[in-house]
Amino acid sequence: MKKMIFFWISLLVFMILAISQDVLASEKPLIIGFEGDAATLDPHARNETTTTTIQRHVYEQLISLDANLKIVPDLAESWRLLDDNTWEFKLRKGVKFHNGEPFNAAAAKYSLERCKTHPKSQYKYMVPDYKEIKVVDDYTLRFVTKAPTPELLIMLESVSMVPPKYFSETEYGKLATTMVGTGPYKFVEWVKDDHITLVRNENWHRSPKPDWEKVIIRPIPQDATRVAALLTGEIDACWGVSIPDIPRVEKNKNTYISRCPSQRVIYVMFDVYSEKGGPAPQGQPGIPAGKPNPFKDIRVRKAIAHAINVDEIIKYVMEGSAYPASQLVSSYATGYNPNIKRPKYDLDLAKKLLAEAGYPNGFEAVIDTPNDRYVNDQQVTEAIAAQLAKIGLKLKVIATPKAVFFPKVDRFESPFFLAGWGTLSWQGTMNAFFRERKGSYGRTNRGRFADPEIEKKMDLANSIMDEAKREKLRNEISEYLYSTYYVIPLYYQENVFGFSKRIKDGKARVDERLFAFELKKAK
Amino acid sequence: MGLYLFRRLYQAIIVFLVVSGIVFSILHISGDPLALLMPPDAPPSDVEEMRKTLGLDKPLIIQYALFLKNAAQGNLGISYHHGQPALKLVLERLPASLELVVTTIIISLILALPIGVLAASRRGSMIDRVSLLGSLIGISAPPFWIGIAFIFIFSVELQWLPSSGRGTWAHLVLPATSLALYRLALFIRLIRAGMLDVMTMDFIRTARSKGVSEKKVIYKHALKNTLIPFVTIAGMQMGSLLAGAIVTEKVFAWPGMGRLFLEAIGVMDFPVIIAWALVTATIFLTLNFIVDLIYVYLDPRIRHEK
Repeated sequence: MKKMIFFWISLLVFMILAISQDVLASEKPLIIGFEGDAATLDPHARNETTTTTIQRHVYEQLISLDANLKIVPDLAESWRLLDDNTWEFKLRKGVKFHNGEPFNAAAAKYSLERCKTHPKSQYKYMVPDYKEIKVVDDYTLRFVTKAPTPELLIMLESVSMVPPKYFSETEYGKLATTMVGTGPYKFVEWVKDDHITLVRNENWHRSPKPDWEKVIIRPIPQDATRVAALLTGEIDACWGVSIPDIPRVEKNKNTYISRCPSQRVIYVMFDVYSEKGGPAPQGQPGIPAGKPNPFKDIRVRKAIAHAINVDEIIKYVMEGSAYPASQLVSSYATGYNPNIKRPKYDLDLAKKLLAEAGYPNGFEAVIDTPNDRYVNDQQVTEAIAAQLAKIGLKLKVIATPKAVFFPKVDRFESPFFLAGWGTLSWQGTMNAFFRERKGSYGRTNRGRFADPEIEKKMDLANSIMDEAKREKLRNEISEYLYSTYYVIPLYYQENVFGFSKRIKDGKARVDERLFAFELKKAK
Repeated sequence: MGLYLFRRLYQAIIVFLVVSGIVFSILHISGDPLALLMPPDAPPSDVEEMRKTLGLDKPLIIQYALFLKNAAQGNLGISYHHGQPALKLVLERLPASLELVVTTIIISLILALPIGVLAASRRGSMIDRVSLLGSLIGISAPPFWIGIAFIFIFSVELQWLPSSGRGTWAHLVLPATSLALYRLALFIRLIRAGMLDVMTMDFIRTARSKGVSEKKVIYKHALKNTLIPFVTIAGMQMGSLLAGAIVTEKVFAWPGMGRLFLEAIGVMDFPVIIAWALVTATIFLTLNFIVDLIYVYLDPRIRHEK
């Protein structure tokens, strides 16, 4: 027994020594905590927020978005349209990749082509279909699209520039685990699921240089642990502080919170295709077999829009951490239409509409929701079902993990479901939600909305290069589509970031990204 | 011994086939990995192209045949999400898992052996009752709750230990201790019950009547005979911890196999899930083998030749 006590005491002493050494270490790097790790470091492979955010410390694009999501020049200094299909980009001069390769028009061409054609690329749709990419001279690049592409700039914002020589000579395993870009930070090491280390690029082409010499990015998947690490000073900034943890961060004298509306909108969608309940794809399994599909009737959908009390959901279920939404694109996006308002909460109107549609006593149906995808997704759906019970709807909530939910709604097996969406592209949003699933359109048209007029108008809107005309058409299309109540946007989620006071004025970003080079040292 | 080894190997191959077959079919029936792999705003044409690239458009039976063919050459497929060999991804996490598990098992053994023996030899005493109550709490407390509680007590309030991550010894203390609580409780109960059982046997009475000291009776005769069932359970505990101290690894951001598996399940990364299942099967088979060898050492009557 005595030996045992000795063992424990020596272990304790050892630990204290180990910890104090950490404290005595020299200038502390900036440490950022994310929810997950990068899936890969190949900038053209996995397209997902955390992966992209991490890569963008090293890789840059022709164009980038500032904190207000406005398009700003990056590796391209300027651009102009020569005709409806030809874009000419003037590239920044004297930029070098971290391995010494020069960045020039040939490198840009290589990067765009790799992004469009690499089998692992999840960014193919971010490079518009092109006739030709032409290197005019070292610093002039012409991009000739197959069809006029008004949203080209916002698309190219997703395409990272890579060094052509290095990328064509290096084996894939290395490209996926290291980074060589032009950005503000250089890659040092990656210990998977533990940390990524970066150092400042002293030769960066932009100024001012980032404040932090060394940056460590750590994935900490558990919300409570991430906040604990922020409170103890183990990390200096973190993404995704969950609602119950906010007061803890605010009360701590060394930390603070920054919050802003996210571009991610939560919505409900209806099956407007099936005639009756029954097996998919013709019938709708979420409605009692043989019964007509009530959601085909616009009055039913409108009734539901007026019977969902979003303010109450935000206040009680989301604890104030959400903002009412009237449309699918964020208010920061081009194409946001300020004339579109949320349907008012009005139970009498809802009841009247239901009665007119022939359902004075309501009906039975299923409402589906993921339970691990969005903040409080299942609880919100349960609240919606409870609110709709007031107009007589008997909704059975089916909550499943995202891995089950998304394939199910993709097979058109849900009559009514809750999901989320977040992109800056108006065109991408409309093409995905309101067009028939064919070719590159209709990915999220999971209730099979179809309208030949809209197909025609969208084709037109997708190709008008004149911004004033386009805006008019855009507004017209949006106003019509939201008046069909096929999709009812509910609210924008909130992005909540936590910062230590080592950082001055840390701000949460609408697009959920957190960049070390935007964080300033407190004096 | 040669025959024994051969039989073990042959069993292992069958286990691999069965495990891979079951996991493969469950995964492919349960849903479509493309729904989570491709970004929500990617057009359907890009999604279908990716399906072809990954070979997920082929009939299931052909996919399985291809998988077996590649597996026979040591290639368990490329992770959909990471774009790297799945087996490599799993094996990269093995050292972190081993470090955590070995520490956990050592902590629980060092404490469980003396406490269990003391509790059994002084049945009904204060030590016995406290250890029983303590182990009941240890077995019932959910690992998630223990982990979060440890972090808030020892990292946030007392600031003694880091909350998460891997690196120094200090990083190991909280996750290993919180994992050890359950094992400790389990081991104490096992040793105590086993000891009580053995203490009533004839050979103990014989030893005592021969005048062997009580200490020797307990440690040499009784404890050694208690250890056989105990070694089996400890071995299997080690296996299940290696494969997935899932909750604890997530809570403490420990870069181990369990966390990789949890994330792979969440996004239906089939190759990683299958690679994980096969590595796990290998771990269990190996541990079983080691446990068998320890049996022989502990009880010379057991022989494997038959």
